[in-house]
Amino acid sequence: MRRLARFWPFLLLMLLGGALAFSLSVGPVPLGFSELLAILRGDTSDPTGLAVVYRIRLPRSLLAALVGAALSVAGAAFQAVLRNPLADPYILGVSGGAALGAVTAIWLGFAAALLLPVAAFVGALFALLLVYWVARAHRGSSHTLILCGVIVGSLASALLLFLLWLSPADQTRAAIFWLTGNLAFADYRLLQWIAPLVLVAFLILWSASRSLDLFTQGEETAADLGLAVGRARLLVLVAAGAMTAAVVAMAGLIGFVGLTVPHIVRLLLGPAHHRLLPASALAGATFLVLADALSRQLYAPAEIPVGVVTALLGAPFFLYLLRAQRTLP
Amino acid sequence: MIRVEGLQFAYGSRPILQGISLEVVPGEILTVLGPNGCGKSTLLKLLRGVLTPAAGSVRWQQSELHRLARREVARRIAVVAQTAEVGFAYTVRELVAMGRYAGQPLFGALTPADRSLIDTVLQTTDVRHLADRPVTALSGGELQRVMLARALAQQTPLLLLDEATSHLDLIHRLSITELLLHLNREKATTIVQVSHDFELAAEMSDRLLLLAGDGRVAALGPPAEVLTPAHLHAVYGVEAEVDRNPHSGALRVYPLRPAREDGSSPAAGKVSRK
Repeated sequence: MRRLARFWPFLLLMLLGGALAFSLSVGPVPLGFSELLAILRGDTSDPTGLAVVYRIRLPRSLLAALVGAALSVAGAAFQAVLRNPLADPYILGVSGGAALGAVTAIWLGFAAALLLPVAAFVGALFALLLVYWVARAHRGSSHTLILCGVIVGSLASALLLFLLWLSPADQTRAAIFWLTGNLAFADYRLLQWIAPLVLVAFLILWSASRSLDLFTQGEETAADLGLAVGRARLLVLVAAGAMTAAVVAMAGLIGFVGLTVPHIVRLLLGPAHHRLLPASALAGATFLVLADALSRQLYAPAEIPVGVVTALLGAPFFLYLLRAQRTLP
Repeated sequence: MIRVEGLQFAYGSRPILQGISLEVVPGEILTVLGPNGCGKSTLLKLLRGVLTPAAGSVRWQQSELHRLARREVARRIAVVAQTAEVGFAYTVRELVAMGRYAGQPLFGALTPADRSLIDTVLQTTDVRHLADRPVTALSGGELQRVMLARALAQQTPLLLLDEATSHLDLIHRLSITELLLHLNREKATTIVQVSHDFELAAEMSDRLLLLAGDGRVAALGPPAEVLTPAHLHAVYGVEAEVDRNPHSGALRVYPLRPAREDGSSPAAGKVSRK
């Protein structure tokens, strides 16, 4: 499998391109490959095709790619820094905080387009900082961080359930729609804000690849090898946390991507983070773009929640890889 | 090299180390012995500045070690622990390359000099043939060699070993010991190690440090002066005989039976050797 080491960037870019093309062509107005190509090249005067691709499908596909990439990179970073294979981007309370923020906004009646993501982002960061602040009292060890994350997450869900219980039924539906994760609110204005944030966070994490490598060896060994553990951990948590918060704010809680994609990439390309992070970004983007296309297509015109599709696609593949490799990633 | 003066350390209110003073001499092999829980590993952590002394000081030249940046410490001191965590399937070469972290610029990549150094230490520790294997697929003996290779890749004048060979079988323990002696002689690498193996320690060390259960120094000096029946009785509470192998001259320790407060032997017939 390690022979992939040379070709992966090319291979993954091809796969992402294919997934995007598939995602742009499926839907209530099916587009053939040549039509799609003509629209993308600007060689057409078909207003329906242009509108469908540029107004509806492209922002949604780009959002799917961005969310998939960010969740996968954040998952890889959290798994390394917490040295826990079950870590995902939501483990430190980010999901609970984001959900609580979003549902609070819905409950207060601010369902308007831009306020919901802002509330979710603020809630996510607040939860993350609360977890970090409490865990710091115990030198921020990974066990304490995970424990604090679970507790803050439970607290947030309790408050969330209370708010849902208080809310009238139509608001509850809006909240549940958001909680199961969905990519339907894609919007260029939001993408403009979120994409640079995700990119900067990715570059920070990528430049910290060697710190992440050292973290996998345990905090004490990392320190013996020369890593300033406390500072490096804060940097990774903030970058990965902000990245997660940003995409959760846009797309709600999409599960399974951030847990599985890094494992799959690690099985194929090894755990070295200078490769793992960009490869996870590309693989995660491809995976969520495909999952989204399928969620729109399978029961069209109805949509299956995309989180269901990510789990149905990812879990069997993951199990197959685990079985075939016989060693844990 | 490292000067320890009046060192005290406690976990909470439980004192671990008390009134330790010693100097690590460049080029020596110093082995720390003592009963379980006497603070041997803690002492090693204080020597590399991972823990902060409650009183007294641990200095590298003028600098207190716990105040030095971790990068600075990692350029001076490399560590091999008893067991290694290998949850992630890095290749042997990738793992050994981690030893170069402190020697590289923060955002730099491996230089050709780094790569040839890594090749050299893989050769020295006899794991070159494993270079592209994942570390998750190695045996215990191979893994400890790889950990030693990573420590050597740090190119430090001082090597700390915390029971680095104690869970290995005899052949691997001996071959790593041989390697350490070679490094000490050829490269003048100073070695401070924690061990439970009296005889191997006596054989390879210039000095032994015997810690008592209360975290004080019971004895410090050449092996023959430290491994005496009186010291073993005081520290381990056992009656023991010490003699020398008539062929090699190596010290041999025979623990006989637990000592009793009044000096008589309990159940002597069951535990004594003939």
